[in-house]
Amino acid sequence: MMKCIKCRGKAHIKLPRHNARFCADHFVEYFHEQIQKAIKKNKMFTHQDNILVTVSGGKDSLVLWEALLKLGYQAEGLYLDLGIGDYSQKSKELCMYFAGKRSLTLHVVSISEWLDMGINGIAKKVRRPPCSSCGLIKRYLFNRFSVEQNYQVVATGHNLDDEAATLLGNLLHWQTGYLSRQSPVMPSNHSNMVKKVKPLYRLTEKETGAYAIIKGIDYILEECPLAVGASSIKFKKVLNDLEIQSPGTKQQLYFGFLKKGKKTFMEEDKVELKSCTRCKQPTTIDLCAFCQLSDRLSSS
Amino acid sequence: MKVIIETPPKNEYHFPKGMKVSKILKQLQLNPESVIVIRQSELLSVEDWVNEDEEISIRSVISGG
Repeated sequence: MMKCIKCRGKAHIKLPRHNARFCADHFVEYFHEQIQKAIKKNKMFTHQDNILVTVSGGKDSLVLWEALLKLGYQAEGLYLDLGIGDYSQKSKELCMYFAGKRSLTLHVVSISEWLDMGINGIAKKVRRPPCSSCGLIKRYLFNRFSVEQNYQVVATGHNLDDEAATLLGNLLHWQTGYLSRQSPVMPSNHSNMVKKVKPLYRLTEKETGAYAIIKGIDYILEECPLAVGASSIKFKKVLNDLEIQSPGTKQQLYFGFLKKGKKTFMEEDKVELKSCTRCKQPTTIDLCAFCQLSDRLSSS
Repeated sequence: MKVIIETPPKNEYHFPKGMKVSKILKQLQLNPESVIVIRQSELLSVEDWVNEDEEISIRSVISGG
Protein backbone atom coordinates (compact mmCIF):
# COMPACT_ATOMS: atom_id res chain seq x y z
CA MET A 1 0.00 0.00 0.00
CA MET A 2 1.26 3.45 -0.91
CA LYS A 3 1.58 5.53 2.26
CA CYS A 4 1.07 9.23 3.00
CA ILE A 5 4.45 10.89 3.65
CA LYS A 6 2.93 12.84 6.57
CA CYS A 7 0.89 10.28 8.56
CA ARG A 8 1.79 6.89 6.97
CA GLY A 9 -1.93 6.29 6.34
CA LYS A 10 -3.22 5.18 2.93
CA ALA A 11 -2.18 7.65 0.24
CA HIS A 12 -4.79 8.74 -2.31
CA ILE A 13 -2.60 10.81 -4.58
CA LYS A 14 0.99 10.68 -5.78
CA LEU A 15 2.72 13.93 -6.76
CA PRO A 16 5.95 12.93 -8.53
CA ARG A 17 7.12 16.56 -9.01
CA HIS A 18 7.25 16.97 -5.24
CA ASN A 19 8.30 13.36 -4.65
CA ALA A 20 5.24 13.19 -2.36
CA ARG A 21 2.24 10.99 -1.61
CA PHE A 22 -0.69 12.20 0.47
CA CYS A 23 -3.82 10.88 2.18
CA ALA A 24 -6.97 12.97 1.57
CA ASP A 25 -6.54 15.16 4.68
CA HIS A 26 -2.88 15.90 4.08
CA PHE A 27 -3.50 16.54 0.40
CA VAL A 28 -6.06 19.22 1.37
CA GLU A 29 -3.49 20.67 3.78
CA TYR A 30 -0.85 20.72 0.99
CA PHE A 31 -3.36 22.29 -1.43
CA HIS A 32 -4.22 25.10 1.01
CA GLU A 33 -0.51 25.70 1.74
CA GLN A 34 0.22 26.15 -1.97
CA ILE A 35 -2.60 28.70 -2.28
CA GLN A 36 -1.41 30.59 0.81
CA LYS A 37 2.11 30.61 -0.59
CA ALA A 38 0.84 32.04 -3.90
CA ILE A 39 -1.19 34.72 -2.11
CA LYS A 40 1.60 35.80 0.26
CA LYS A 41 4.51 35.62 -2.23
CA ASN A 42 2.65 37.80 -4.72
CA LYS A 43 0.80 39.99 -2.17
CA MET A 44 -2.48 39.08 -3.89
CA PHE A 45 -4.90 40.13 -1.14
CA THR A 46 -5.50 40.10 2.60
CA HIS A 47 -8.29 38.80 4.84
CA GLN A 48 -9.72 42.35 4.86
CA ASP A 49 -10.20 42.56 1.07
CA ASN A 50 -13.49 41.84 -0.72
CA ILE A 51 -12.63 39.26 -3.38
CA LEU A 52 -14.71 38.49 -6.45
CA VAL A 53 -14.18 34.95 -7.75
CA THR A 54 -15.24 34.50 -11.37
CA VAL A 55 -16.90 31.10 -11.58
CA SER A 56 -17.68 29.14 -14.74
CA GLY A 57 -19.17 25.95 -13.29
CA GLY A 58 -15.88 24.15 -14.05
CA LYS A 59 -13.73 22.52 -11.37
CA ASP A 60 -11.00 25.14 -11.07
CA SER A 61 -13.10 28.20 -10.27
CA LEU A 62 -15.41 26.37 -7.85
CA VAL A 63 -12.42 24.76 -6.14
CA LEU A 64 -10.79 28.19 -5.80
CA TRP A 65 -13.93 29.66 -4.23
CA GLU A 66 -14.20 26.74 -1.78
CA ALA A 67 -10.51 26.91 -0.81
CA LEU A 68 -10.52 30.70 -0.28
CA LEU A 69 -13.51 30.38 2.06
CA LYS A 70 -11.83 27.52 3.96
CA LEU A 71 -8.78 29.78 4.35
CA GLY A 72 -10.99 32.50 5.88
CA TYR A 73 -11.08 34.97 2.97
CA GLN A 74 -14.14 37.05 2.05
CA ALA A 75 -15.04 35.83 -1.41
CA GLU A 76 -18.20 36.29 -3.48
CA GLY A 77 -18.87 34.83 -6.93
CA LEU A 78 -19.67 36.14 -10.39
CA TYR A 79 -21.05 33.90 -13.10
CA LEU A 80 -21.02 35.27 -16.63
CA ASP A 81 -23.73 33.69 -18.79
CA LEU A 82 -22.19 33.35 -22.26
CA GLY A 83 -25.41 32.16 -23.84
CA ILE A 84 -23.98 28.85 -25.12
CA GLY A 85 -27.24 26.83 -25.02
CA ASP A 86 -27.43 23.83 -22.68
CA TYR A 87 -23.77 24.19 -21.70
CA SER A 88 -24.32 27.65 -20.21
CA GLN A 89 -27.60 26.59 -18.59
CA LYS A 90 -25.99 23.58 -16.89
CA SER A 91 -22.88 25.45 -15.76
CA LYS A 92 -25.01 28.28 -14.31
CA GLU A 93 -27.15 25.77 -12.38
CA LEU A 94 -24.01 24.15 -10.92
CA CYS A 95 -22.69 27.54 -9.76
CA MET A 96 -26.06 28.40 -8.22
CA TYR A 97 -26.20 25.01 -6.50
CA PHE A 98 -22.67 25.46 -5.12
CA ALA A 99 -23.46 28.95 -3.80
CA GLY A 100 -26.93 28.02 -2.50
CA LYS A 101 -25.63 25.00 -0.55
CA ARG A 102 -23.08 27.22 1.21
CA SER A 103 -25.29 30.35 1.53
CA LEU A 104 -22.88 32.42 -0.58
CA THR A 105 -23.48 35.49 -2.73
CA LEU A 106 -23.38 34.69 -6.45
CA HIS A 107 -23.90 37.46 -9.01
CA VAL A 108 -25.11 36.45 -12.46
CA VAL A 109 -24.47 38.66 -15.49
CA SER A 110 -25.56 37.74 -18.99
CA ILE A 111 -23.61 38.96 -22.01
CA SER A 112 -26.86 39.22 -23.97
CA GLU A 113 -27.84 42.05 -21.58
CA TRP A 114 -24.83 43.95 -22.91
CA LEU A 115 -24.53 42.85 -26.54
CA ASP A 116 -28.04 41.51 -27.33
CA MET A 117 -26.71 38.04 -28.23
CA GLY A 118 -24.62 35.11 -27.01
CA ILE A 119 -21.04 34.15 -27.94
CA ASN A 120 -22.13 32.00 -30.91
CA GLY A 121 -24.00 34.89 -32.52
CA ILE A 122 -21.16 37.33 -31.82
CA ALA A 123 -18.53 35.02 -33.34
CA LYS A 124 -20.61 34.58 -36.49
CA LYS A 125 -21.27 38.30 -36.88
CA VAL A 126 -17.69 39.46 -36.40
CA ARG A 127 -16.18 36.41 -38.15
CA ARG A 128 -13.64 35.79 -35.41
CA PRO A 129 -12.98 32.59 -33.42
CA PRO A 130 -15.46 32.37 -30.49
CA CYS A 131 -12.65 32.08 -27.88
CA SER A 132 -11.15 35.39 -29.02
CA SER A 133 -14.41 37.37 -28.58
CA CYS A 134 -15.16 35.44 -25.38
CA GLY A 135 -11.83 36.40 -23.79
CA LEU A 136 -12.28 40.07 -24.64
CA ILE A 137 -15.85 40.19 -23.30
CA LYS A 138 -14.98 38.31 -20.10
CA ARG A 139 -12.03 40.59 -19.29
CA TYR A 140 -14.14 43.69 -19.87
CA LEU A 141 -17.25 42.63 -17.93
CA PHE A 142 -15.32 41.09 -15.02
CA ASN A 143 -13.38 44.32 -14.60
CA ARG A 144 -16.34 46.65 -15.07
CA PHE A 145 -18.54 44.67 -12.67
CA SER A 146 -15.86 44.54 -9.96
CA VAL A 147 -15.14 48.29 -10.26
CA GLU A 148 -18.84 49.19 -10.07
CA GLN A 149 -19.45 46.82 -7.14
CA ASN A 150 -16.35 47.97 -5.22
CA TYR A 151 -14.42 44.70 -5.10
CA GLN A 152 -10.69 45.12 -4.37
CA VAL A 153 -9.57 42.11 -6.36
CA VAL A 154 -10.80 39.62 -8.97
CA ALA A 155 -9.61 36.02 -8.57
CA THR A 156 -9.71 33.49 -11.40
CA GLY A 157 -9.20 29.71 -11.33
CA HIS A 158 -6.20 29.56 -13.70
CA ASN A 159 -3.93 26.70 -12.62
CA LEU A 160 -0.34 25.66 -13.40
CA ASP A 161 -1.40 23.73 -16.52
CA ASP A 162 -3.29 26.76 -17.85
CA GLU A 163 -0.31 29.06 -17.26
CA ALA A 164 2.29 26.65 -18.65
CA ALA A 165 0.15 26.00 -21.78
CA THR A 166 -0.40 29.74 -22.32
CA LEU A 167 3.32 30.35 -21.90
CA LEU A 168 4.19 27.61 -24.39
CA GLY A 169 1.74 29.09 -26.92
CA ASN A 170 3.12 32.60 -26.42
CA LEU A 171 6.70 31.36 -26.81
CA LEU A 172 5.95 29.35 -29.94
CA HIS A 173 4.54 32.48 -31.57
CA TRP A 174 6.90 34.94 -29.84
CA GLN A 175 4.00 37.01 -28.56
CA THR A 176 6.23 39.43 -26.66
CA GLY A 177 3.33 41.65 -25.57
CA TYR A 178 1.52 38.71 -23.98
CA LEU A 179 4.77 37.41 -22.48
CA SER A 180 5.36 40.74 -20.77
CA ARG A 181 1.93 40.61 -19.13
CA GLN A 182 1.65 36.91 -18.20
CA SER A 183 1.72 36.83 -14.43
CA PRO A 184 -0.11 35.44 -11.37
CA VAL A 185 -0.94 39.08 -10.53
CA MET A 186 -2.09 41.86 -12.83
CA PRO A 187 -1.90 45.03 -10.74
CA SER A 188 -4.33 47.91 -11.15
CA ASN A 189 -2.70 50.46 -13.45
CA HIS A 190 -5.77 52.63 -13.92
CA SER A 191 -8.46 54.18 -11.69
CA ASN A 192 -11.10 51.96 -13.33
CA MET A 193 -9.10 48.77 -13.16
CA VAL A 194 -9.23 46.10 -10.46
CA LYS A 195 -6.25 43.91 -9.56
CA LYS A 196 -6.52 40.38 -11.02
CA VAL A 197 -4.98 37.34 -9.37
CA LYS A 198 -4.55 33.61 -10.01
CA PRO A 199 -4.14 31.90 -6.61
CA LEU A 200 -4.10 28.37 -8.13
CA TYR A 201 -1.04 28.96 -10.32
CA ARG A 202 1.13 26.66 -8.14
CA LEU A 203 -1.30 23.72 -8.48
CA THR A 204 -1.89 21.40 -11.43
CA GLU A 205 -5.18 20.60 -13.07
CA LYS A 206 -4.97 17.06 -11.66
CA GLU A 207 -4.63 18.52 -8.17
CA THR A 208 -7.69 20.79 -8.55
CA GLY A 209 -9.62 17.78 -9.88
CA ALA A 210 -8.53 15.70 -6.87
CA TYR A 211 -9.53 18.50 -4.46
CA ALA A 212 -12.99 18.69 -6.11
CA ILE A 213 -13.50 14.93 -5.58
CA ILE A 214 -12.30 14.99 -1.97
CA LYS A 215 -14.52 17.99 -1.15
CA GLY A 216 -17.52 16.59 -3.06
CA ILE A 217 -17.79 19.59 -5.39
CA ASP A 218 -20.13 19.03 -8.36
CA TYR A 219 -18.82 20.68 -11.50
CA ILE A 220 -19.51 20.56 -15.21
CA LEU A 221 -17.70 17.67 -16.89
CA GLU A 222 -18.46 18.75 -20.44
CA GLU A 223 -15.89 20.88 -22.19
CA CYS A 224 -17.13 24.18 -23.63
CA PRO A 225 -18.45 23.09 -27.07
CA LEU A 226 -16.79 26.11 -28.66
CA ALA A 227 -13.36 25.20 -27.20
CA VAL A 228 -13.14 21.82 -28.96
CA GLY A 229 -9.82 21.67 -30.81
CA ALA A 230 -8.47 24.73 -28.95
CA SER A 231 -4.67 25.11 -29.10
CA SER A 232 -4.47 25.32 -25.30
CA ILE A 233 -5.73 21.71 -25.02
CA LYS A 234 -3.07 20.50 -27.49
CA PHE A 235 -0.34 22.32 -25.54
CA LYS A 236 -1.56 20.81 -22.28
CA LYS A 237 -1.37 17.30 -23.72
CA VAL A 238 2.18 17.86 -24.95
CA LEU A 239 3.23 19.26 -21.57
CA ASN A 240 1.64 16.33 -19.73
CA ASP A 241 3.55 13.89 -21.96
CA LEU A 242 6.76 15.67 -20.94
CA GLU A 243 5.66 15.78 -17.30
CA ILE A 244 5.33 11.99 -17.15
CA GLN A 245 8.82 11.53 -18.57
CA SER A 246 10.30 14.31 -16.47
CA PRO A 247 8.22 15.28 -13.40
CA GLY A 248 8.29 19.01 -12.64
CA THR A 249 8.51 20.15 -16.28
CA LYS A 250 5.41 22.37 -16.15
CA GLN A 251 6.50 23.99 -12.89
CA GLN A 252 10.06 24.53 -14.11
CA LEU A 253 8.81 26.09 -17.33
CA TYR A 254 6.40 28.56 -15.69
CA PHE A 255 8.24 29.34 -12.46
CA GLY A 256 11.51 29.70 -14.41
CA PHE A 257 9.82 32.16 -16.76
CA LEU A 258 8.49 34.23 -13.84
CA LYS A 259 11.92 34.28 -12.18
CA LYS A 260 14.25 34.65 -15.16
CA GLY A 261 12.42 35.27 -18.45
CA LYS A 262 9.56 37.70 -17.87
CA LYS A 263 11.63 40.80 -17.05
CA THR A 264 13.24 40.75 -20.51
CA PHE A 265 9.86 41.15 -22.18
CA MET A 266 8.62 43.73 -19.66
CA GLU A 267 11.42 46.11 -20.62
CA GLU A 268 10.53 45.67 -24.31
CA ASP A 269 6.81 46.13 -24.04
CA LYS A 270 5.74 49.07 -21.89
CA VAL A 271 2.16 50.20 -22.55
CA GLU A 272 0.33 53.19 -21.11
CA LEU A 273 -3.33 52.86 -20.25
CA LYS A 274 -5.87 55.62 -20.80
CA SER A 275 -9.66 55.84 -20.42
CA CYS A 276 -12.01 54.78 -23.19
CA THR A 277 -13.63 57.93 -24.59
CA ARG A 278 -17.07 56.34 -24.20
CA CYS A 279 -17.18 53.92 -21.26
CA LYS A 280 -14.12 55.19 -19.28
CA GLN A 281 -12.74 51.65 -18.92
CA PRO A 282 -8.95 51.16 -19.31
CA THR A 283 -7.64 50.86 -22.87
CA THR A 284 -4.52 51.51 -24.92
CA ILE A 285 -6.53 53.11 -27.74
CA ASP A 286 -9.21 55.87 -27.78
CA LEU A 287 -12.27 53.65 -28.09
CA CYS A 288 -11.80 50.38 -26.20
CA ALA A 289 -12.06 46.99 -27.91
CA PHE A 290 -15.38 46.21 -26.18
CA CYS A 291 -17.02 49.43 -27.39
CA GLN A 292 -15.66 48.77 -30.88
CA LEU A 293 -17.13 45.26 -30.76
CA SER A 294 -20.46 46.65 -29.57
CA ASP A 295 -20.52 49.16 -32.47
CA ARG A 296 -19.65 46.45 -34.96
CA LEU A 297 -22.46 44.20 -33.71
CA SER A 298 -25.08 46.94 -33.85
CA SER A 299 -24.06 48.17 -37.30
CA SER A 300 -23.80 44.80 -39.11
CA MET B 1 -13.98 -4.98 -13.83
CA LYS B 2 -16.03 -2.14 -15.26
CA VAL B 3 -14.34 1.14 -16.20
CA ILE B 4 -16.52 4.14 -16.99
CA ILE B 5 -15.05 7.13 -18.78
CA GLU B 6 -17.12 9.96 -17.28
CA THR B 7 -15.97 12.82 -19.42
CA PRO B 8 -18.02 13.20 -22.61
CA PRO B 9 -18.08 11.42 -25.01
CA LYS B 10 -18.79 8.83 -22.32
CA ASN B 11 -17.47 5.32 -22.78
CA GLU B 12 -17.33 1.99 -20.95
CA TYR B 13 -14.71 -0.77 -20.85
CA HIS B 14 -14.62 -4.22 -19.27
CA PHE B 15 -11.53 -6.08 -18.06
CA PRO B 16 -11.71 -9.79 -17.16
CA LYS B 17 -9.40 -9.54 -14.14
CA GLY B 18 -8.27 -7.15 -11.40
CA MET B 19 -5.25 -4.90 -11.91
CA LYS B 20 -3.43 -1.80 -10.71
CA VAL B 21 -4.74 1.63 -11.71
CA SER B 22 -1.46 2.38 -13.50
CA LYS B 23 -1.95 -0.70 -15.70
CA ILE B 24 -5.57 0.20 -16.47
CA LEU B 25 -4.48 3.68 -17.59
CA LYS B 26 -1.70 2.20 -19.70
CA GLN B 27 -4.10 -0.20 -21.42
CA LEU B 28 -6.47 2.67 -22.18
CA GLN B 29 -3.53 4.84 -23.30
CA LEU B 30 -4.39 7.54 -20.75
CA ASN B 31 -1.78 9.83 -19.22
CA PRO B 32 -2.03 9.64 -15.36
CA GLU B 33 -1.32 13.39 -15.25
CA SER B 34 -4.44 14.10 -17.34
CA VAL B 35 -7.04 12.07 -15.42
CA ILE B 36 -8.36 11.24 -11.99
CA VAL B 37 -9.66 7.81 -11.04
CA ILE B 38 -12.60 7.38 -8.66
CA ARG B 39 -14.09 4.33 -6.89
CA GLN B 40 -17.38 5.14 -5.10
CA SER B 41 -16.37 8.78 -4.39
CA GLU B 42 -12.90 7.65 -3.27
CA LEU B 43 -9.89 9.06 -5.11
CA LEU B 44 -7.58 6.28 -6.30
CA SER B 45 -3.84 6.64 -6.83
CA VAL B 46 -1.92 4.97 -9.65
CA GLU B 47 -0.66 2.41 -7.12
CA ASP B 48 -4.15 1.24 -6.04
CA TRP B 49 -5.43 -2.20 -6.96
CA VAL B 50 -8.93 -2.66 -8.46
CA ASN B 51 -10.61 -6.08 -8.09
CA GLU B 52 -12.31 -7.79 -11.01
CA ASP B 53 -15.79 -7.35 -9.48
CA GLU B 54 -15.37 -3.60 -8.91
CA GLU B 55 -16.36 -0.52 -10.91
CA ILE B 56 -14.28 2.63 -11.32
CA SER B 57 -14.74 5.96 -13.08
CA ILE B 58 -12.09 7.91 -14.96
CA ARG B 59 -12.44 11.65 -15.45
CA SER B 60 -10.30 13.89 -17.65
CA VAL B 61 -8.99 16.96 -15.85
CA ILE B 62 -7.93 18.88 -18.95
CA SER B 63 -10.00 21.93 -19.71
CA GLY B 64 -9.45 24.41 -22.49
CA GLY B 65 -10.65 27.54 -24.16
